[in-house]
Amino acid sequence: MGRSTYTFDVLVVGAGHAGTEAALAAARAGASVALLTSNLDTVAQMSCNPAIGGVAKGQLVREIDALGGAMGRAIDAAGIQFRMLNVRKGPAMHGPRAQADKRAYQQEVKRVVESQPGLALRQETVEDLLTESRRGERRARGVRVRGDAEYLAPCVVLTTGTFLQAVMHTGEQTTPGGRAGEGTTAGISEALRRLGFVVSRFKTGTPPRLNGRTIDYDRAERQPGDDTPRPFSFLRDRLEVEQIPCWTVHTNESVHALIRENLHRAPMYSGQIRSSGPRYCPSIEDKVVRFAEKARHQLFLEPEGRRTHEVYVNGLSTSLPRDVQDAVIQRIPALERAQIVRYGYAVEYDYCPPDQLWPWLETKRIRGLFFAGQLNGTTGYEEAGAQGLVAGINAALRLRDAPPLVLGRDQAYIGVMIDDLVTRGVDEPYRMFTSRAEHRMVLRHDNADRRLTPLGRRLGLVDEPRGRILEEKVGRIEETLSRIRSTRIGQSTLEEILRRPESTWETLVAMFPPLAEVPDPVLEQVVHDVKYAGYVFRQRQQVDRMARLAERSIPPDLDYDAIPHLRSEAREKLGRIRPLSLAQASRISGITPADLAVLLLRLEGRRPRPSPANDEP
Amino acid sequence: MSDVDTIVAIATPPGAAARGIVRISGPRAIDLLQSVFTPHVDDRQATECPAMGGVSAISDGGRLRTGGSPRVVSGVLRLADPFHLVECRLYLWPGRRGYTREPSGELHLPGSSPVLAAAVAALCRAGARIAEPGEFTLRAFLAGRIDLTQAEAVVGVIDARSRRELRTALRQLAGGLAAPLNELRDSLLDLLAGLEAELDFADEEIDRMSSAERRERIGAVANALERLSKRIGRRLARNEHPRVALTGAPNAGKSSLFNALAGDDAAIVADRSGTTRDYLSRTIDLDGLVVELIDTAGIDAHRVEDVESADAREAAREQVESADVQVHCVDGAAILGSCGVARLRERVEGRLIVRTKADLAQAWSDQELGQPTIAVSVVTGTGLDRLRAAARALTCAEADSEDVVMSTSHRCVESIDEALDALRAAVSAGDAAEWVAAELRGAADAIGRVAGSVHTDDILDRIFSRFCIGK
Repeated sequence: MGRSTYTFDVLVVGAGHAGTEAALAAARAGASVALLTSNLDTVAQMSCNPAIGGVAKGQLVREIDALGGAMGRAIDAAGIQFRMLNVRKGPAMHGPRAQADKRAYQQEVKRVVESQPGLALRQETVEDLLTESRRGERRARGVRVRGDAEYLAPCVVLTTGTFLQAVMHTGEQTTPGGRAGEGTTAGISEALRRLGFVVSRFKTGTPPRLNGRTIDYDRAERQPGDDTPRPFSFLRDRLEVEQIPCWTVHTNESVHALIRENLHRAPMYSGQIRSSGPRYCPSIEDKVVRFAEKARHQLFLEPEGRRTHEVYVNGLSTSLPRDVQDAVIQRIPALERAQIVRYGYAVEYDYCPPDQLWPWLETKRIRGLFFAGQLNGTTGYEEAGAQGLVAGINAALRLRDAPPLVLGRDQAYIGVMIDDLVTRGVDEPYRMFTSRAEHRMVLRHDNADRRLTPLGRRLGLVDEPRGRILEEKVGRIEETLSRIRSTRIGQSTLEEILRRPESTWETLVAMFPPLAEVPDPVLEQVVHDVKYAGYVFRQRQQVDRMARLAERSIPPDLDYDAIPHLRSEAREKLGRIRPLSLAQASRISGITPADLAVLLLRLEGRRPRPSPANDEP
Repeated sequence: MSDVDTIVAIATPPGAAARGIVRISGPRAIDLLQSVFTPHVDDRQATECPAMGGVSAISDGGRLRTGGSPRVVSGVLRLADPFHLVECRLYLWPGRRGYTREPSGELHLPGSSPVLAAAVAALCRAGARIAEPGEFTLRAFLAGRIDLTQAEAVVGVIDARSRRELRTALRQLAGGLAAPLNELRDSLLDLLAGLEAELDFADEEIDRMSSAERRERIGAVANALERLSKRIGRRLARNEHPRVALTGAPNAGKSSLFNALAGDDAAIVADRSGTTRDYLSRTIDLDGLVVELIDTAGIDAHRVEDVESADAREAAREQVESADVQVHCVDGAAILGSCGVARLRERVEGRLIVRTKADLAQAWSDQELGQPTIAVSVVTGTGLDRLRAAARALTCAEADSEDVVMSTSHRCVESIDEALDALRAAVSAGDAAEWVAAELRGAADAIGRVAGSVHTDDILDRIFSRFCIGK
């Protein structure tokens, strides 16, 4: 029997949060796509906590939605508790977060994937990457899967998560595998090394899960959802959902003492794990050691779904042995009788340092090969989904040799994240924070549609109904703005009145009752536009001041070795990262203004310049 | 870097020069000059200057005209106290004929550092920005005035120099400025880490700072920065001759050498002796280069424990640190002390070692020291000329970098003032943490231009080491 061969435009390997968004985006943009996963029952699986969003991460989800992605709609359908975080801060700091029914979330994403025309979901285990050389350039050709079959396509998006050479640790025990109960993928790791990629190692961890029936909730503190849950997707105005509370409990000195006594059995401390993990998501061992002065640590009990009693103990990530995990749980008030249903574990996995990628997530080494998600050294479903979407659309654009999609740092959190990844690399798993975004005041979750949907529409990512919803909204925003600009109360326009710090929309409605009919999503934008106008103006000035020189583009093949006067450190870094603009070059760590000046001189030297003979204006 | 700003810098080396030049270039150059410069006569009668490619033209009536040809205009520059009105000549290129092909001008002023500094300050107040090292060259290149090789050579040299110059400028401005600046940068980063943790980790149990405490701490940083700014202002306004400090153990022969170098009446340029009882200084002429000679009264830059009074120690250390050149005296007739010899064996930039008392029997050789020395006797006068020449050469190498040191100093001041403005805005931003954070970030970036730039990673590092974050 001959080998089976299937031909597509785009192959996506891995059907997690990055893979599903990548496949959906490429298919929406018109490519024929195969989404390959080793297990059809774990599509869009939430391997870690059962929640989507949060501060900065919530903004990412809203951006994914604004570009037509699935994450926002899926969590709206599968959410069991919705909260807007940081509401006491200004609107740019608000971050939507929701607890998910894990199973329902997966099924919803799987249903969306299955319904997408042009997208074939297949259960296949990829064992090797196929490439070819054409016109002196290495290109992606497809993948070989278990069972003697090949999938061929000019574009391959790799989203293998934590499954490359994965090892799980629970105490002294180690098990190969990227997620409890599942295997690992060795073939792809070997292929990447063979193709010359630098492969590095990270670790991350999960906490134990409990049987909720055995938790004494009367002694835990209840954390309810918001009274009026706010949807993630711009396609919905409101959510009708019965919400389930989360609960908080605390560790105590007795727990900490127990952990300290058993530190030598924790793989992170015994030397069994050497790779670095995220500092913002430390294990309980780390917290007890590094913050010894803290008498207690907060833990969140998060239900994993409506139809299960399984409860995720957020804050208790650990790789301690089973017997210690049992004993720790029994010493926590409200959990004394609680039974662990899955033990916590740490996982070590391969990732590819992301400075090997262009800003559109294609590898510099192999044309047509794209990386997204945890493979790039990031963490989080939202970070993965956002990269997946960008890799997917860029794979589709690559097919027709159209210019790639690269979002700016002043345009989207997605732009900030990808620029950070490809320009500065990572030294711990990368998670989004608002403090990473220097333009965060304008990158609000509530205006993601205005920032990105028109772009999505042009790229074919966004369908006509979504485009129309935005157009209508923008029309009403402009209409309302012109109304408050032209309506005067005494000496001032309504806009001027609204700009005063003490004024709210209610102040205006009280002065001018017809405004009462403006719908919430519209008035929200009007209020923020007016109140933030001064800041936006200032920021715009700064951006413009920088823009003309800084946005000067740099050819990807510039020979840095041929530039005299460039310091050797600068030469090495620029040659490796190959920035595409002076602005990007300026963000590489260790690159000085003087390096940029030398670079600019060289770039200008390549262009025809005004002749010295031609003097007067 | 931007090519739309109007930039200004001093274009003559610090130290002695008959006249100094302040150069300005950019779209608003003429505007800004108008606000500080008044022509003596109608600008209409301005000297034609064929060398500049200009012809004379029409008038604006006592005011500088915005248009017209390149020309020279005499007039007065309005400066802050204590200078008021300073006579000067303005070389003006209103169109595209200047070095940078932008509207530009050169103010030719008396060669006094304080006056030049005041002129730069006045133009900055009017809206100009201090030029980055090499920026005029860059603009000239972009305008097609000079070719790539020339431009790269200049910028490359400036690149190598600019780090050292920043250090030099900091040293000259206020010996030991770097340390307090770093402390302030540190306090700012701590404040920012607290704020950012509060913003990014809404769900975590974090000790939050009350807004009253926060305001107080921002205020404290602002006050410290203001004191620094004033201190630098005083330094800048003061005589800025290059400084040569005599150092060495007590009885190494510094005072005799000081008298020998300064005591020759013909060499004394100005008598400013006895500034404090801890050091002496004289402005002297080193073969045509005017320098400030300082006797540190038994201070070794590294062995300050020799001095009993903490104040005196501080004053003396500041003198040594702010010097461009250190002339370190070692007694040639005494046995080399063991402590301190190790330091003498290290190569130190900007240091000369003098073997004093060369007329007596010598107790050690240069090989023993492992460093070349200049043997000097104040009794016979041996070696004094050699020392003068060496000190002069070294001073030129250390202090002379055309406009860079001066403009670096000015950029320090500008950055600090910008940071101060941002801190004041942070205080008035009230309770809104994200606004306060935005201003503090601005302040940290401004200080960062002098004391090491700030990246988000620096702030995140602090957050994770200070707060137990992690669900």
